[in-house]
Amino acid sequence: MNILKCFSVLFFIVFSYHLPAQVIRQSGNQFLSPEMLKLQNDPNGNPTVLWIDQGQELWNANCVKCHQEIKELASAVVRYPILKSKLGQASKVWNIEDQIIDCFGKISQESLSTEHQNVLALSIFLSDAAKGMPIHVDEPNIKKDKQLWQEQMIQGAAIYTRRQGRLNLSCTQCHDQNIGKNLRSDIVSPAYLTGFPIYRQSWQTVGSIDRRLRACYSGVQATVPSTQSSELRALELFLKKRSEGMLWDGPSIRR
Amino acid sequence: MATLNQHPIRLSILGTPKVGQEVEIRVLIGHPMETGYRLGEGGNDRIPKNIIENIVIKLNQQVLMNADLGTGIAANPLLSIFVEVPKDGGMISVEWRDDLGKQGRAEKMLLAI
Amino acid sequence: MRPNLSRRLLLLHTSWLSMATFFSKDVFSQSNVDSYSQKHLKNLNLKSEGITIEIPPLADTGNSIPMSIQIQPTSSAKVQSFEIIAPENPNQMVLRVTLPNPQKKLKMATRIRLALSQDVWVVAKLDDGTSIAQSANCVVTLNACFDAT
Repeated sequence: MNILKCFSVLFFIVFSYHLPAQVIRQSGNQFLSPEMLKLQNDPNGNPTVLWIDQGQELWNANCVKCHQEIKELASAVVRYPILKSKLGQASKVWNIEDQIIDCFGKISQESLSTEHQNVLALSIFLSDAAKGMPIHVDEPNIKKDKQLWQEQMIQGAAIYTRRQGRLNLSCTQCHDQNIGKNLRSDIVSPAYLTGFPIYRQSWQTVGSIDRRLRACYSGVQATVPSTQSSELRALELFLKKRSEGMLWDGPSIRR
Repeated sequence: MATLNQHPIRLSILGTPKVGQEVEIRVLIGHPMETGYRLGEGGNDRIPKNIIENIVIKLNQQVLMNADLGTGIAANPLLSIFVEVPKDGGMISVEWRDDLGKQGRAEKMLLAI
Repeated sequence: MRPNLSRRLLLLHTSWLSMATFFSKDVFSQSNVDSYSQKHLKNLNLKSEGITIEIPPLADTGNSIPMSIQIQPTSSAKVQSFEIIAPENPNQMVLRVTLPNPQKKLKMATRIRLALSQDVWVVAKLDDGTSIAQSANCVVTLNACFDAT
């Protein structure tokens, strides 16, 4: 029974890598209202530019000592999440904010959260530099890590397809089966990870993918996993791989 | 906002600055514009009010527009005004002040062509 | 004849008295100010020629609604100041703009918050002592999902 479940989930993963030709994957920007799209494309009105400015200052003050070429580092935005381990710790999935937090830890011994303004500012700055790059999430090379990566992917796919919360909804029910339909006046998008971090109007500030995924759990009235939990990272890995090949939008505006 | 500059500001001049033509002066300030009505963590206490109260836009030290803001202005406020480009252009400056005493300013040269 | 005259006088005096609150700064922190109610603003019967409001009829979010205003009085008077009033907001006075040098034409834009769907009013004071006012309706939608973060 377990093998059957594994097989069907793997089949789902394979299916999402090689989508039939007629499926067009659209970024969430295509589901914005005309006003929001205008705001998204306006470099002088889009609130994320304030964080890009902040990120630039932080970059100049902190990062440029080790990382000379911004474009090279920006490619991390489309390659993450990756499997990584720190000295003495087991390998786990790191996303871009986890990496920034680790870097800050090296410089200032601070332990920041994914929603700390400095972390988000740098993440947005990098995200903006990565605009237009195609998403490319790779398996690790070492055999031992490869297996762990596959397990994380399977876990991510399992979370994506399982029903949860009081509303008893799975991610796939909305984001695959009901794309384009209305949830009150929200239009359901296919939820590809092409434009994070986001400035969300309902938050009236910027937030990371970690926060957005937690908000989704909250939306179906499920127990919200804690920030930086492995469940969220497994789901993010799966979602990023599902968006493989799509072009990065840069930091985006959402409702 | 990031700990570097708690309230970043972006002053832009949009449009072709031909003498006699209109350009848009746009100010975008990073400020939460906290209304004082929102509830904090745990849903018990209200997050204290903190809004920008006043924004002044000047051209060459002459006040173009004096705006008093209330809680009804969106977070990270954007304010834009269209002005006619004067013959020699001028220095556009923006000053803002919030209800906790914080202030900010920005300047940009309007070069007339 | 007499009841109509006294009612007209009453209306005239209340409108003049309430206009006086336009100069008060405290009005920004007051809620439910009578002179900013929908009914009162309508009863002022101010002319609307010369004011154009651009606001989406259906807003994505009550938190940030783009709004542009153009004031160009049809008479020879110049615009001296204007106010954006949202009668259904907890703090009805949204923005007050004063021009030290009255202008023949004023065009500006901002982003406002609306607590509920309502008519948003712009009341402009001209340098000849008169006022003009215009309103535009905006329907505000709520987010679909509850967000505990």
